Amino acid sequence: MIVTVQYFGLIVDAIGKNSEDIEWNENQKKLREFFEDKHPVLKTIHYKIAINNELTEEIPENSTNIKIALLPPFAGG
Amino acid sequence: MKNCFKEGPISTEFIGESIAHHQVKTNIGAHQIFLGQVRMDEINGKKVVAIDYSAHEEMANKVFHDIREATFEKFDLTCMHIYHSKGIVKAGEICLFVFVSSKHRKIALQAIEYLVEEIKANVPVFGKELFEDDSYVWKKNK
Repeated sequence: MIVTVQYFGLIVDAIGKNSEDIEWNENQKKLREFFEDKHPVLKTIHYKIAINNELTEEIPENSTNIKIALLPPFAGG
Repeated sequence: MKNCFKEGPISTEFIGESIAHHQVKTNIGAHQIFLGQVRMDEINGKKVVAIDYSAHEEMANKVFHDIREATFEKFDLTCMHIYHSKGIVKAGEICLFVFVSSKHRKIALQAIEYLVEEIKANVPVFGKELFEDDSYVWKKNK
């Protein structure tokens, strides 16, 4: 399954892009591990993962249209 | 979903007009307002001249919506407004405007504190603290 990932804030600086499409195979590994293998710099950054605008690290089963976001520490207000 | 973001700083005129709009709502006895202002912090000897805000806007508006619902659930409020800047806000300018109204002061006072803390902790907004020499650092809420 092809999944679009959006990056924000300092993560954009760290990996040099705003978004990318990834090939996600449900049984491969945990999402966080997957991203940290793909972009090792993420191991040094505090971030949260959101799937379809909810903070979670589990891709819902049987989902077809998924948007993932990697969110660095919040700084609102 | 309501869009809580405004481009650039939130003007004092806009804040004043928002207050004026509530004069017809005569069941209100107390307004409480929180204004976040960009502070000229000094980091490693360099002054912060502005913050460039960005956000995961779709998610942020959903989180603003959820926080709003939760606040209405918890406190007996007449109305509530939340505005957050995106883009560049200079030191001394307003970047967050939160406004709650209720019949009596205690509820408004408690609600505003809850609301601001929820926003700070949960809304995916990111801030680049810009220095005079065009360098920057990423801001992190304490």
